[in-house]
Amino acid sequence: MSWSRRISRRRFLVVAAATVPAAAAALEPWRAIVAVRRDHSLAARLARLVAHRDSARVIGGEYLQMLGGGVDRLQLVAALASELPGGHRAAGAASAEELAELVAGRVRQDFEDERTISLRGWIVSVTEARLAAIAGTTPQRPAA
Amino acid sequence: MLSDARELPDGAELEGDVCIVGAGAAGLAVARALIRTPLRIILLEGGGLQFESDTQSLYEGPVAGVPYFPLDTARLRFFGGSTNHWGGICRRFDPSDFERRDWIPGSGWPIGLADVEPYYSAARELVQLPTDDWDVDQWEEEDELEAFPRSDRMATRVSQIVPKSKRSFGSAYSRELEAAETVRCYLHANVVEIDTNEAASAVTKLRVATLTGKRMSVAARYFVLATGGIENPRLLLASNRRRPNGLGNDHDLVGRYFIEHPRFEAGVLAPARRTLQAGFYEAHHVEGTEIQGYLALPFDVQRSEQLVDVQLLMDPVYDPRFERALESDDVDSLESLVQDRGGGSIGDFGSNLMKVVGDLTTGRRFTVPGAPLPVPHPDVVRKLVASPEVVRDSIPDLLGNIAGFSYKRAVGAAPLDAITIRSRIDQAPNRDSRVTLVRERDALGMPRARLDWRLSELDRHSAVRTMEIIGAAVARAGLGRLRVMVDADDRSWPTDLAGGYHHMGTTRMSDAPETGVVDGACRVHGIANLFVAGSSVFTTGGSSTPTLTIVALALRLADHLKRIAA
Amino acid sequence: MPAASAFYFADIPNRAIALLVDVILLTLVAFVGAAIVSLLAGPAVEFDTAAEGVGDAVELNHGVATLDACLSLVLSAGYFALSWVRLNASPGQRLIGIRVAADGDRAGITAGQAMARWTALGAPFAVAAVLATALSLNGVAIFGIPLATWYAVLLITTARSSTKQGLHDRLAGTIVAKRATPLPPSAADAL
Repeated sequence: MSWSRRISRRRFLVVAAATVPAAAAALEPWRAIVAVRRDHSLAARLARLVAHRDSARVIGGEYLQMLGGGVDRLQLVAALASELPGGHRAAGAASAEELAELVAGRVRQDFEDERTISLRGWIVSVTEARLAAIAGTTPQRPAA
Repeated sequence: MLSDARELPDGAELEGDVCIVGAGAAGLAVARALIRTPLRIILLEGGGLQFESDTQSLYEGPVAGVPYFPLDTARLRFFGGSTNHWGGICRRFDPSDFERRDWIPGSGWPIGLADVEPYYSAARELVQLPTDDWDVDQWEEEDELEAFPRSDRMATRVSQIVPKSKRSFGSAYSRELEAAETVRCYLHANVVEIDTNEAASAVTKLRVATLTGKRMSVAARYFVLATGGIENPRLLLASNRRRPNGLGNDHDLVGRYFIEHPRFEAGVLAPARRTLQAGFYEAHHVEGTEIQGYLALPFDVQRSEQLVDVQLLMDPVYDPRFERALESDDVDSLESLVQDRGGGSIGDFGSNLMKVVGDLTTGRRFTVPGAPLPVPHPDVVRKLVASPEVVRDSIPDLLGNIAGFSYKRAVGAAPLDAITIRSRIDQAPNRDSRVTLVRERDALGMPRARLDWRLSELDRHSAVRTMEIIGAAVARAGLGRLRVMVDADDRSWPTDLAGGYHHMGTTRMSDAPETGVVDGACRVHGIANLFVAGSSVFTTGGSSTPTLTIVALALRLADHLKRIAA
Repeated sequence: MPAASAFYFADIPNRAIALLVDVILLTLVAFVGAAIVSLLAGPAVEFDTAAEGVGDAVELNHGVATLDACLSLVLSAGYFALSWVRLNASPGQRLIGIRVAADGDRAGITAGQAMARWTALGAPFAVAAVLATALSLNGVAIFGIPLATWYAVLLITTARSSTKQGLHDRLAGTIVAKRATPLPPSAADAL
């Protein structure tokens, strides 16, 4: 009994030793997918901050036109999230209310630093322009 | 003593100690200050006590450059001068107005605020304003209305406004001058030439003409030109018997550097909420005085951004439909008007922008840290209870269907649609902006004056940049979003650009004759007994309207004359 | 003793209700405490005059907020420990008719036991609040799961115990009992 237990325990250890790096390697693409899904989910959550999607489409459209095209939603989300206090991580972990606070705080900071752009003459914060573009290009799903 | 030059004999030769040409704000201030002295004053006024079109037409002349008012509507030629049609807006200059700013070529007066300061109180009394309060903090304390929150990028300034009935210096002081024994005021006495000695170093007499054809002369020890920023240089240039280029003009500066305060509609502010209080920036009464606030950049921002001073004048636009709905007692539409974000004043794009901005405004609850249940912090509760504007915002929801007519009583005003913004620029000195003479002569034989008004890139850039900075400051304070409607790249100026009837800089002050026409005492360089009063001596236009400073400088000149003529 | 048979080990629903009442009362106490702190140390929340009420441009005074969190922690400790020692029950527990007693002799608990019990039961939440406020952390994201796990552990151990003693009770040596029926006044204090 003890001999078979020793063998099975050793086999277990060998198998475990082999599995761990395999598992680590196997998990990598899953991590990337989770990261992308988290980005999308962040995009959706940011979009949900703006209730007037049609208005956001107008404002965001003007902003995208100003950028000259070639900027996709994920890039906007990444740019916006990276500038929030705590960065991408905090944005991902924040509740809806906290995310709204973070973004509103960033908008205020934009005006403080005069990080503004002109959309048809309107002085607008870079962050709120990005948010409008994100919200305007995210399809509105009915609330779960 | 008040008399009519037309009743004097032809060829009359008058004589006094001090002769003042022009009974406008400056001339009357000097004359009045010299009443109780032993000096014999002669005050010459080209017009009568009332407007007369034949006298007024002496002011006609061509206009070039930036479109300007006809020269005979921008100024008045009768007793009281242009005070007979001014807006009454007064404010003193700031220290920076006198300082040399190296990003504004030509800026820097030879005197400072300290030299003019002692005369502002007397000037304020002369224009009949009740208090010496110029500080916005002092006014806000007594005012029900509030200015926008100040920041290091945005400042509020206050002007006091003279009541309409007290604006004309002519009405206010004609009787006093009439009664003064040492002052002889001659109406309808038009000065057409200034005579000097051979060296053109002293004035000997003034040649005066009436429209009835009479000619006379006035001799005095000292002479003061106070006929306004277009007429002062005209007179100096036309007096070219001894000097072909005119008097005081050895360095080709007389008439040059004509500065105005151009104003035009520069943008619009979309309020973040329709209950935003902007009444402080409309003309309103506080403790019996009419004041009006306006926005500008603090001076150190002007310095760091290298801008001229640009003032933003605000005109709140209230929803016109509100009054109609109120009258018809249509409660439902009243409610929806209050909720409605943005009317026609800000356009569709603006409406959409404000909807997005509104969505982002978080209703943050600050909860008590460490309390097991989320409960709003006592400070938040206190603010909600004590803060009228927050309660005002909630009224439409709180009162529900009763909102309508109760709303106006609670808020005190109709919902704010937008605030249109006019910018008024303290234009940078521009050598090519000038008053010259043309060949055409008026009814008295004097060559007419021509105005060629120029503005510069710095003026345009300053207007745009000021709007951008204040736009960011306004958004930072949660007041709303600003739209700049002046194009920085456009070479032309907006079609609604107009002056303010401020004619300044044409006989500018400078220590050196190479850079100015008069010195710090307002004496014409090179001419011992000729002085100039009025806004033509301004080196720069100033961040405020000129009248109060015109009067203060005139009182200072009077003091100087008292000393030297004694 | 006839009185002992009138008590049974307090079950989860009763204790949960008592805890809920305590939480509400403690929240009120914390509110009052925060109000007093604001009076003495200045406002914790500052508003821009042009702010839209609780919306834009609202600033949290970090120092005063941390003070509030620390005071909440002290109040929480005081609220529970003092009432357990002096009254043998917290106000919520009194309302339900629950008693906290020492495990062995079923007498009143000592101060040490009370503090130990609070450390296991109330401290985690209060300490997390202080840390999150003092270090400006996203409290829910960082402490949410650990706290939930800990309280789940307390709940499960309480439910599974035959004497209804959770991990916190075992650590403090306490037991919680509920009166079955109202006793005549003469026997009310005997446990």
